[in-house]
Amino acid sequence: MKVLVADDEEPIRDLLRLALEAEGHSVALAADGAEALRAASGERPDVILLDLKMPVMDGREFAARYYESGGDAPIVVITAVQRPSDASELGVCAVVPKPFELDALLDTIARCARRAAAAAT
Amino acid sequence: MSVRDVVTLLGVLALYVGAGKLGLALATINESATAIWPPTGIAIAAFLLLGRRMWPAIAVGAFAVNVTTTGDAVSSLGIALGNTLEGLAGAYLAERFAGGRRAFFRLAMVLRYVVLVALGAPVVSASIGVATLIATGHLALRDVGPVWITWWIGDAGGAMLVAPLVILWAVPAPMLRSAGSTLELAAFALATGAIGYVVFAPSSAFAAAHEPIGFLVFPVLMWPVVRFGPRVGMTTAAALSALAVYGHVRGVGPWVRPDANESLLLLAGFMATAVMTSLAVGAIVIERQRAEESLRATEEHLRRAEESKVAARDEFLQVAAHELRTPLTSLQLATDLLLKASATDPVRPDLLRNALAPIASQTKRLNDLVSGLLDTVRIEADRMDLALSHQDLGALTERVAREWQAATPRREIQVDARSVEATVDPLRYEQVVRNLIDNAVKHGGGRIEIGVAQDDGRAQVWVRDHGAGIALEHRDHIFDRFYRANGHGGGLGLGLHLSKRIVELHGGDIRAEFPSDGGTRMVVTLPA
Repeated sequence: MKVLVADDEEPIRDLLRLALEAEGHSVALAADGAEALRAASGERPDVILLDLKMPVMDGREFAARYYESGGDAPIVVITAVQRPSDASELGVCAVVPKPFELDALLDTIARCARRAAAAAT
Repeated sequence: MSVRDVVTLLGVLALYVGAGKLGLALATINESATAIWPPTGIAIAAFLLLGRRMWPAIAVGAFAVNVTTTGDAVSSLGIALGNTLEGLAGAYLAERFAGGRRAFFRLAMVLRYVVLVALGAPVVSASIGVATLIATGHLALRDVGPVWITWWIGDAGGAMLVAPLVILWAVPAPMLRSAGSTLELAAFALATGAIGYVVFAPSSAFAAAHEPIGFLVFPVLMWPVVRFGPRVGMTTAAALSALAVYGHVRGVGPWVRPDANESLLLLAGFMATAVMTSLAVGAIVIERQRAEESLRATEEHLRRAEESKVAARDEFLQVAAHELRTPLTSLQLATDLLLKASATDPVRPDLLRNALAPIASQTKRLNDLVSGLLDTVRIEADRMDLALSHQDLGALTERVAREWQAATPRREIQVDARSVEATVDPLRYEQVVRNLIDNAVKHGGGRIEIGVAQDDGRAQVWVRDHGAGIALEHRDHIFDRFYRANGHGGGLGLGLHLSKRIVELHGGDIRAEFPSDGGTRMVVTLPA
């Protein structure tokens, strides 16, 4: 499975890459929403891990534009904001507050990927 | 002179002559000296409301009133001169000392108006008038005393009764918030009419018997002032006074005594007391209302300030929580990753290194955040103590710059640090320099230039970058607490605020310059 990680925090990006690669996924990285849009159209990820507060283009705008342009990968929002909006309001599969347990995040990613696959068939 | 001016002058003239004829109708002792002389009030009000250029109307009016009464042009000229000068003097004194046309909205001004204007200005007219009558042979020297007094009292009555009435109707008074209803106004008018009739009317048995019941008018004098404001209050006082004068000239009412002068003094005393009380209480009512309004405004202001303080604190807590959770996220990710990896196989050295490096850096970052928060709390509570010692700022600065160069090998950092001695807390000083370089690295671009020099007996330290500079709308706020020019990932917005406070604690200052060839130049000046 290919996972796109969009987060402006370099250590978080790098650690997520290590963790996801250890699970056997391939990983693409983006440091802001605009980079993520380019990566999403080029790499065609199966799941997108998305931070909300990012420079240039924030996660909210990325999600809106991504689905507008026909993207269909499920998005898992990872955010440190105090009261994150819920998943349905953001139009994403799940919202995982930071900091999170790695296994919980991996479970959520798997669940969202399964749900997307089920919806596609 | 426009048509409008001519009409105004003629209007004032007509009003003055009318008031004069009314006053003469009340004359008792001498045909030119009366119990109340309303024209004085008209003259003062006209000068205050319409300006000094009304003088021809007053002069001509005064002459006309007198010459048609006495038939003597010479004495009438002198008296007219006195009346005009009296009005001008009254208006001058009112404007100079008693708030001018707004004299009746403040207690202190009311008192000054009564003493300086109403009692002071008539001295002019009484003196010139009496002198004129003597000079023209209309007054014997032995009668000077009573005539001067009567003249003065009459004019003072006009200044006290007529001028405030006209001015209060001409100048918009502050609205009373707790004003009474129309129904109450009607009830009040009825009560006033009844009491005025009983006390003063010629057909009233009490008035005819000179019953000493003049005090009965005070409730109806105070009622309108408190409930409807100074305008209605003054109108009531004037109406009751007019009634008192009307009854008086017909020989009835509580103020009539066998001796005409004694009667006149009593009547004048009654009117002065009634009007003064009404004006004074009216001014107090207005002042109280104004004080209440200003109190309310202050309360509202405080409430808003408190709300925005709470909002700012709330926003700060949100930002702080986000900033603290970000390194925590890396820490938890790294430890989970290591735990997971170590559960099965021995951890690969490269994975170990890649996971441990962020643990080290993010732990330091968390500690810096906590220190910044503590410093802020300390400095806001004035509890940041400096460990001052003699230091070479050049050496300190160079060391911090070298640290940064080692940490960011890709950025070009140029140091030109002269040796400058100053008394500083070296740790706090380094904190400031570190923060300035940190900003230059994060937000600025291009080469970073750092310098220390002696300038006019003070140490100057600067950090300059060649980036995009700071947007105009942010420039005034960069030293504000919690202000972050770049909304995300910019930390807590404490760096420059803390730096400024630390520099100020050292007796120095910090400023941002924006050189024409771009970038930002932060300059710290310290006592050397």
